[in-house]
Amino acid sequence: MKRSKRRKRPKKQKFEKEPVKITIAPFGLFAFHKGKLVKKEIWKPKECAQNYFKREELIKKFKSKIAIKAKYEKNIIFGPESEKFAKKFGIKFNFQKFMIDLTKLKIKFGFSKDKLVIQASNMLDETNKMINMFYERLSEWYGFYWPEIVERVNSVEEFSKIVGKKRTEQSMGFDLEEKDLKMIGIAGEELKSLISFKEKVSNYIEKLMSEIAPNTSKIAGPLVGAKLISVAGSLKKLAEMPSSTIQVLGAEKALFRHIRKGTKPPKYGILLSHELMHKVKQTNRGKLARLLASKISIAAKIDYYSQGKEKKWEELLKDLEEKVSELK
Amino acid sequence: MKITKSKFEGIFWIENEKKKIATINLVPGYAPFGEQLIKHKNVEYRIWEPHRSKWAAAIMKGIKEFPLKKGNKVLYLGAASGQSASYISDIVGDRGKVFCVEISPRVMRELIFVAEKKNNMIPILADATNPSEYEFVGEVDFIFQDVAVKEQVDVLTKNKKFLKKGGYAMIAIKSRSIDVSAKPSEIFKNIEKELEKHFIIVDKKRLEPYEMDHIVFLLSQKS
Repeated sequence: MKRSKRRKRPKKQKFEKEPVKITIAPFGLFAFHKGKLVKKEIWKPKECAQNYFKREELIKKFKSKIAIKAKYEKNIIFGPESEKFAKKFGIKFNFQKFMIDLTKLKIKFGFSKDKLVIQASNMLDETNKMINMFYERLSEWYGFYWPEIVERVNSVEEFSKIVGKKRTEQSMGFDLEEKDLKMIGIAGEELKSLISFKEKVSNYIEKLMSEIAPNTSKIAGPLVGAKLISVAGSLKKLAEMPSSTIQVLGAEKALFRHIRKGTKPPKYGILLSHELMHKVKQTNRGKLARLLASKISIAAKIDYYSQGKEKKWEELLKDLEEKVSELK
Repeated sequence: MKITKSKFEGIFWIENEKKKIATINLVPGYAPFGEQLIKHKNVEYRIWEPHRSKWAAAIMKGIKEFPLKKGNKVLYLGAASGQSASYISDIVGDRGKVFCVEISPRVMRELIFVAEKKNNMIPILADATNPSEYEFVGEVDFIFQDVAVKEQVDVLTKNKKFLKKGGYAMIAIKSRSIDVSAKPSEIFKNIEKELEKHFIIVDKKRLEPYEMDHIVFLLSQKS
C-alpha cells in the first residue's frame, strides 16, 4: 500500500555504448547517434565566423542539451567539404564569405600592443627629422633679419621662443617688412608645436613601454627600447633574437657590408643612443654594447614570455652596473 | 591598339606603344592596385604589370608554359596584399578558387578588401611552413609560391601534398632571402638541384630587368 504512494524515481538513464558524434561545421553543430541526427544548431550566416571563433564554449552548451548519456566524439568539417555538408541539410552557406569574416576576427584579436610602440617610435623619429628641418630652414629665413641672435642660440627650444620676434639690438640684418616677419613667426609657431608634440610622444612611449615591456624599458631606456622593438619588427622577434643580433640592430648596412665585402664589423647600432654609451671611453663602447645587448636580450625574453607581468629589472640593472664599473 | 590572345589561357597581349599582358577583369570597373583598365568590344581587360608581379615578369620573359586553366583550384602561398593573386583569380574565373595563404595580418588587411570583391579568393591567415593550419584546402591543380624565407624549397615540398596528379607549381626565388653574400647564379643552381629531387623542371626564367636577382621555376609533378 505504502509503496504505491512513494514518488516515482526518474528512470535511470542507460549509458549508451555507441558514442554521440558531434560534427562541428563552420555554420553550426550537429549531433548524430546511431547514424541518426539527434540535435542540430544552425547559425545565422552573419554569426557563423563569430560562433566558430568561440566554438569550444558553444560545444559545451550544445552537449548539455543532448539527452543521451554516452561518450562524445568530435568531428570537424571545414573547407569546401563543409559546403557539400551544408547542401545536404539545405543550408545556405558560402565558405569564401565565412573565411573573410573569420580572417577579420583573427586580425582583430591578433593585435598586440607592441605595434603601437612601433608606430609611436617611428613617429618620434619623423618628428625629430621635421624639427631639424624647421630649425635649419628658419635659421636661414630669420637670419636675414636678425643673424646675431641666430648665431647666439644653441638649442632648438631656445630658437623656437625667439624666432619671428622683433629685434632688440642693432643688427646687420635687413629690415624686413611686418608681413614678412609675420610669416616667419607663423612658421615658428609650427616649430613650437612640433617640439611640444615630441615631448608628448616621448611620454606616451614611456608609459606604453612600462606596460608591455617594463624590463626592456628599464635596461635599454624607454625610447631606445622602443626603437629596438621597432627595428626588430615586434617584441616577439626581439625576444627571439640572440644578443649578438641585438647588439648590431640598426647597423644592418654596415653588417651586410661586412658579410659581403669583409670590411670591419659594426660594434653597435641603435645602442649607441643608450645613455651609458656617452659615459664610457670610446674604445670601450663595443664592449659596453655587447654587455647591454646581453641584458636587453634577457629583459626582452622576460617581457615577452611573461606578457609584461614579471619585473626582474632590478637584478639585471645591478648586474649591468657592476660590469660597467669594471669597464671604466 | 591591338588585342590578341596569347598562347596561354585567359591571358591577352595588348599592343599600344608597348606590348603588355592583361587578363579579363572578373569585376568590371574594379582596379584595386591602380592598374590600367582597357575596354575593348565590351570586354574589360586589366593590365598585368611585370614590374609588380613575378608571374607576369616570367610570362614577359617568355616562359614556355603557363598551364593555369579556367576553373582550376589554386593554392597561393605568400599572397601578400593579393595583387598577383587577383590576376590568378581573373584567369581561373568564377568557378575556380584561389586559396590565399599569408602570414602577415598587416598585408592580409589589404587582401581582404580584394577578396570581398572577388568571390573566388579565399583568405587564409596562416603560416605556409605549417600546412596543417589549412589542411581543409584539399587537392589543388596549381601551387604558386612567393614567400621570402630562407628555406623556400622546404616550404614548397611541405605543401606538395596538396597538388593533384598532373598538377603544376610555380615558385619565385629571391636569392637575397637565401644568402646575401653568395652569387645569385650559384644559389639558383643549388635550388634547381634541390627542386629536381621532388619535381620535374618544365622551365625556368630569370626576371631581369623586372626584378633583380630573382628566378621563377615552373614545375610539374614527378609521376
